[in-house]
Amino acid sequence: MSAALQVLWSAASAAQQAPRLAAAFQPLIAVVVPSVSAAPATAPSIAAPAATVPGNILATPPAVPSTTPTPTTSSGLDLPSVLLSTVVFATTLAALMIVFLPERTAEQRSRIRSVALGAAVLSLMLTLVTLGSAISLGVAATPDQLHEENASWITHFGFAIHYHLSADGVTLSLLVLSTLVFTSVFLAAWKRQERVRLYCGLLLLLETSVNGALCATDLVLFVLFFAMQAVPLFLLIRCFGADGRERSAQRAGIAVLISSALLVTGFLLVIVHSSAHSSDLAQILTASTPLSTTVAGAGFWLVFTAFALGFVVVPAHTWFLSAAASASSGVSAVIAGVLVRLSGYGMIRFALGLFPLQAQRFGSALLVLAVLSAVWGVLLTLAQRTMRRMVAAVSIGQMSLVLLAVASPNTLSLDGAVLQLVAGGMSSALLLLLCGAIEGRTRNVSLDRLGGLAAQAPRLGGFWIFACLAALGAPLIAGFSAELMLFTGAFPVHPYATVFVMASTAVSTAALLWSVQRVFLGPVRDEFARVRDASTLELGYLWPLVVFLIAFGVLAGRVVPVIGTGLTTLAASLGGAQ
Amino acid sequence: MIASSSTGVGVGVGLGLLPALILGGGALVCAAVAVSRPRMRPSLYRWFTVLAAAGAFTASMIELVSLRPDHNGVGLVAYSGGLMVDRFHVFGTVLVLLVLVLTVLGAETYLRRSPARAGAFCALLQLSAAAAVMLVAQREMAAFTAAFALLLVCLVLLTAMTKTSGPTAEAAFRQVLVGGVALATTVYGLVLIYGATGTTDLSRLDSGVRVDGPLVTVGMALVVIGLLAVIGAPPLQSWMRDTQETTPGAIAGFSSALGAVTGTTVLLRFAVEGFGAGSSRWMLLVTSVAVMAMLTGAILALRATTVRRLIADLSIAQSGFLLLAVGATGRGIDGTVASGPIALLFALMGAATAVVAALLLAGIFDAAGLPPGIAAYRGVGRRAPATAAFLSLALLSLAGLPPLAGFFGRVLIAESALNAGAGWAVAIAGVAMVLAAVAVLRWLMAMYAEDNGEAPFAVSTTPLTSRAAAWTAAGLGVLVAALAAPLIALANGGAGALH
Repeated sequence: MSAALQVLWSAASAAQQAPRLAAAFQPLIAVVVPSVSAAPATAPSIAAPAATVPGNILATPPAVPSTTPTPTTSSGLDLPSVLLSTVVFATTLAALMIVFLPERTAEQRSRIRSVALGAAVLSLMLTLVTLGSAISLGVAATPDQLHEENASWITHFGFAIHYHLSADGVTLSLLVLSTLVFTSVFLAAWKRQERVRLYCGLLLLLETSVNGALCATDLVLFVLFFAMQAVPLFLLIRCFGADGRERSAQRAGIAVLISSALLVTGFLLVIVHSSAHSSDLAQILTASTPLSTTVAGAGFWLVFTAFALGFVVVPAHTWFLSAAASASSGVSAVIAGVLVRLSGYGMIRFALGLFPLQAQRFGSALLVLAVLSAVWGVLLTLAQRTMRRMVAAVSIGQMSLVLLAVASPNTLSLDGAVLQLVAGGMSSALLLLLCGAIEGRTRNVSLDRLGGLAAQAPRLGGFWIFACLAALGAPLIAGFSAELMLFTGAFPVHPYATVFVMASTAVSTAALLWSVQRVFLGPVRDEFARVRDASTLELGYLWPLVVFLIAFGVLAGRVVPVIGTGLTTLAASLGGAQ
Repeated sequence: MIASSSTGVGVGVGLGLLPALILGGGALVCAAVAVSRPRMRPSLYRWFTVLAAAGAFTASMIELVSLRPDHNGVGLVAYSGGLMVDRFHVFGTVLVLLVLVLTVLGAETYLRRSPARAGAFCALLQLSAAAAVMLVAQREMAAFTAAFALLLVCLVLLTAMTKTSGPTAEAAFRQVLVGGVALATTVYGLVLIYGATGTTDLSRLDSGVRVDGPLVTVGMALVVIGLLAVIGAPPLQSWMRDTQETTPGAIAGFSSALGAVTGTTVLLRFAVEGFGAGSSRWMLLVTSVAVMAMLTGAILALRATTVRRLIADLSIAQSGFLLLAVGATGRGIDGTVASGPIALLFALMGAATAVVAALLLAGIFDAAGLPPGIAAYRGVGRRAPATAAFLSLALLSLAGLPPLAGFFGRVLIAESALNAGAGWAVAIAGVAMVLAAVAVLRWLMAMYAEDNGEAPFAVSTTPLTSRAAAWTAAGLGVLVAALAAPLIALANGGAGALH
């Protein structure tokens, strides 16, 4: 459905040389939600004249003029300067606290869960307030870095390392995804009785590493947080997973470790050869002497391969399939909903940001990988016999869209890619949490043995249908806006590949929709006659994901410009590259 | 003001030697008391050793202040440049003292089990530390050889004295053999260098008549091989594996950490002040050994079936990283001097504390009656959560995983090596890092994800002092990472004294 719309839209956009979807997107949103059309989305970047040269895919001026002061001084919120540190380290503090809490009685276990949930909710709330303030200010008033904490950390060495956290539109959107999914997962684990301290502690450390990596603008700081995933992820899969968890945990752990080692090498190569003598991304990007072609090429492939492993680009996707299938549903939701998207973020922020010329030079290779991932994702989706593996396979297809955007980078496709990361992450997390709920009730993971659940669990069925629609990109849900922008941006650059990926997405999502028929529709089976519908607790962690998916879809016209502000520097470098 | 004495023993020289003298004096007192009053309480020896260490530390600080180091951090040049009391020496001394204090506090379990040997044990610890402190300051070949021999003898005696079984005796014997080979190799190497250059002062090697000849190259290689024995790097790593597997945790930790600290700092002084920073022969030699050590240790760690063997293999891999820093001393790609010395000094803090912590904690489990095999460690995380958590921290730091000190050390070393043009070695280091981390994850899996029923063991049988020392040592891995900035600044000051 959306694929057909997207083809038409892409063709129309290409013909008109539409600059950015945010502009073209407004009339559609205005029809559906009139109030949104009044939003201050007619920003300079959106109103910029369309490019007239087909090859010039950058239609937006690189710099967005800032006419008002930063949120910290003028928004009326006066958020403290340690806001990002609080978002990142609240969960660490909670993890340290629960180490000292006993877990013998139910009350003690409940206390541990409360502390963990409290920290996750605090991070979520702070992130939402920050994003809300950014949206309320509108794109014209939003500076590149909405919030920033920058302090010299290590200066008495060959290069300077900074404690540099910053949150622009891209970071904030993904922070919302991360904190929301983690909060939902903590809620989903509310009835867990075994090894609660270990489970919550590891999840909290994992959240710290993800949020820290999202905010880090220093290369060493980023690797520090990124590599911190390895141990919690490994133990969460290994200790709390299902059949095959030993192998899955090992493969996931090794994947993260290899990614980290490649990142360390790639980043150090850049730092050593850069004239900035610093690991701060901003300083490296503004260094006086550019990297030599050889160094930049080597750095690009090291960094790209590192993120491709986490980004589940075919053929480096196998760890993800087994991890998503073997881990507990909450951990699966984190892996598919957050960790994979973090690698996507790294791909855009670092692989593309540090090496824009190389990304364009090797664009064809990336394109081949994107198409391969899309096609392979479809085949995998069709071949799966369990719900979780099918959802994971759909995620591989979703990530191929982001790779397509990286292979054909322009502001429109990249805006779409970031929104796709958020939308795909939420829909995957929702689907995987639902998988856990269904598996818990039916004691069954095979699609062939399920059916007729809608009669007993209509609410679960409704959530599943919504999640499938979100994954396929139905209108008014975040995925629609994301795919629309992404395809519109990519089509003028690589039309055939875009159509190919779009077709793959359509088939993949059709297979996902078929799962509604296989799991929920059809005659009621006797063995599932006692299956109960979604409980209040389940509604409590499923609804927020639904609400945010709709919110990001309906308010896309206001969110996308904020995301766009985070891509101005990247857009400028890409413009320079052209 | 730089005090300089080329003839007699003046106040300055006395002050320069004070830390080693205090430790040596402490050793003598312990030995004398042990002989004259054999029934003395073991804890007295322990606290006396701590006191001596505190005295040596104070003396080091006085050195730092009263010798008024010049802008290069050199406070005293004595015996025609043979003895250098500089910030580098002070840094090395403090590291040695840290290892000594952690060891002596963590050795409570051993001292309670063998109270009659407490005096000799503490005397040997102090004497080893004194030899190490002397070595770090030496640039004169003869004095260097004497201090090196003393260190080797003390370490061998420590292993031999604590023998409790056949394997321990075998380890001690092997250590004697390896130590002998190391000493002989080093002496031959120094003799060849002397023959080629005509001086026994390392700082004057450059003025030698045939400094670029094959004789110096062979001499250099022999010296490096000899010192590798102390560090526990291939091809002379076997003693370390045996010692770490068979001796009490405190002894094993002390030998390994002291060896790493002394061996690498001495090599660094040789590299910078002897052969000249950036010597291509030196870099190739040391980097090749480093790569071999990293890969050997990491691959062996993957197959480790006992926790002691795992720690030993990780130590070997770690020694490879430290050697990588020793090789990164020349002018870098970016035009500045490669920061290998700074990276080494900083990494040593994390490395030494991690090795000591891991072996002390393994010793606690041993004393609690837990067999060392991986099967016995299943479920330890649930049954002894605090000790298991600290052991995990120490192992993760040894493997170089963030956010612990080992990670920072490795990043700094990798940057220095890349800058020095050893990109190939950094690539291999990345592989080794992944392998080492996988080996540790395997053990974490056993400790936290698996269960082995309720095999009886109780870590509470270990004295509180030992446990506190082990936990502190493991916690230092976190602290060193948290205080990376000031500690790197200190390391910068220490490394800056080398010239």
